[in-house]
Amino acid sequence: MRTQDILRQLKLLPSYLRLSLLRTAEDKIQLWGAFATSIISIVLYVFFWNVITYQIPVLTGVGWVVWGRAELTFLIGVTEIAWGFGSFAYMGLWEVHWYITEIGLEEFRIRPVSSIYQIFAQNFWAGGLLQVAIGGAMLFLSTITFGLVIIPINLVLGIFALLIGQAALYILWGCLCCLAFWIGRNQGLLEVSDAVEMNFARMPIDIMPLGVQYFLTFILPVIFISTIPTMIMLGQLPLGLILVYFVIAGVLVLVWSVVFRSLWAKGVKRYQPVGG
Amino acid sequence: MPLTQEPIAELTNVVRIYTKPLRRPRKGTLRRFVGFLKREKQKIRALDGVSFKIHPGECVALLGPNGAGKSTTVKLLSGILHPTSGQVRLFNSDPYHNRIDCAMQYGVVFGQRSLLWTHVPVHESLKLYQKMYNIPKSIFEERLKEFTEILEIKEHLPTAPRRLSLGERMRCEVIAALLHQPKVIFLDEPTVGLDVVAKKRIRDFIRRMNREEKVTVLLCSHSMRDVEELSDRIILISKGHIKFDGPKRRLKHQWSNERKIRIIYKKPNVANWQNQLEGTPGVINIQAENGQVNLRINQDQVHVSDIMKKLMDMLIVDDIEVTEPNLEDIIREIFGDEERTLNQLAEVT
Repeated sequence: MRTQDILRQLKLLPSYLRLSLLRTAEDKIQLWGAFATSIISIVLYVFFWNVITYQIPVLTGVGWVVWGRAELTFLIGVTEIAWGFGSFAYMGLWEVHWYITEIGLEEFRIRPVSSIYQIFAQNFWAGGLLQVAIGGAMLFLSTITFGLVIIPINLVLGIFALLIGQAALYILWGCLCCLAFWIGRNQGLLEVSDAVEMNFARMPIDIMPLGVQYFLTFILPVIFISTIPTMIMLGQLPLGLILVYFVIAGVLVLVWSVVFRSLWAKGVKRYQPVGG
Repeated sequence: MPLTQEPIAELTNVVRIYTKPLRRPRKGTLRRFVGFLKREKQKIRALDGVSFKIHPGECVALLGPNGAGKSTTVKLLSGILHPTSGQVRLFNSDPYHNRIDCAMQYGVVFGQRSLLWTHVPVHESLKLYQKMYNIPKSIFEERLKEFTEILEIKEHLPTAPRRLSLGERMRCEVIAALLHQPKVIFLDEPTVGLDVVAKKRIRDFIRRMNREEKVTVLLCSHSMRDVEELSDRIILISKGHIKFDGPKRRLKHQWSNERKIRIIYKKPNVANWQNQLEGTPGVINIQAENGQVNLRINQDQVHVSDIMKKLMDMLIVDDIEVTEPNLEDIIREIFGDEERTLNQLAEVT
């Protein structure tokens, strides 16, 4: 892509964000629904971990991380931030298969901007930022309640880990969506990956058996959107290991981006219009 | 029509194949199970060796029945689709591989789908396009004012497209497609489902853009009124093949020796009048029901006055009307009795 096209896309970003706010404001019921879902799931998970830690006060991972009530409550907040940001920024990738099989790519292909960029930007959902705020409040409350000490550098590294990990996970989703060019409607396939994420993101993955950990690190990298950022923010990981995780997440982002670009380019070539 | 200029769009021997699951009943549980696991597919040649050129300033109508390949042609020219084989050129470049550059210079309207953001006010979408196409603010405002006045849509700009009627939305779509001063505009059924007033507004606007701004137009439409009023040249396409490509008047000229006669009668004087009439040389077609007869004759073989005399003898006539066939009749004739009429056209082209 040429520099002038990239610059034009960057210039369009504020307009897309504005339109996203307008769209979110238009659909207030969806916004309140997301708000209620966030609050209910947080309450349920706080209750769940309270029950667990009442019986087993401390869960240990691979030997150097300890998950008590405080850390688990903090983890819930981090997951909420991750999901909120995911809903805000990556909703478009989740919709790709839908555009391919049901709606059509025409509206994106006729504009002088990258189609993938448009799919991303047109689906920014400002309501996700509300979830991020709820997650942030949860982090704040858990530090106050349990007296957790968060060092700013750890916070920054944790956020960076979350962003890079999230990119890896959602670009992989994008790849699964692109398979719709070949196999048609593939909602079922995406539901599987979504179910894995939904069920594991709120758990400390390092307490799971090694096989599951490898799967959730290298295959479906859910570990990077909650467990790793939480451990980094809480200062429970040595710098060397943080760097190793960054490299792994970075390589995953790179690999899945290349795969995504390639699948997209090949897929669009064989794209068949929806409904004539 | 400046045919000496370089063509603005050109298709050379273009083939586009679609695959579609083949559903056929299978006998036996095992075969059904295998069919469930492994779907058979069939290939459909939506376009099969299509070639034509469009020159700057032309207004070309692409006509054909459903599934003929009209929309596929528009989507190939706008870089949405890639041809299976053959070459597509727009502004002397490949619209698929140079999509962004080409998209800066064309506009598209798909009557069957909205290209505006459905949930945000129309003027917000238009502002986004202003930035997307790098339209200077003064030009944007000037053109928007002019277009909204012509199309009488100003009061609807603060409304989201999903809250607009089809006619209002289509007028907004047309504005969105022309704001950036495109050199060519592809219109895929722009007046489908609209009332006569909305159709006329859009037609007048497109004609104005074609004549005043010299915007090249490729129009796919089932509305013969659109074609009659807007286009100078017609491309007839059927089952992925071009059957006719030439000026509208040439197509009409082929049928100029035909006349349509409509008769309303009280009762017949003779019992087998219809059989007698069918045997008359030059009578192409007779349709009779409920005291009304519609027939088409070829004037080279029989004169109108002779037929009328015959009819007067056979029927007690209330009313008679003689007309030339219009474009709609011609196209209906072509696609209704394709083989015969396309052979006639082949002779013309």
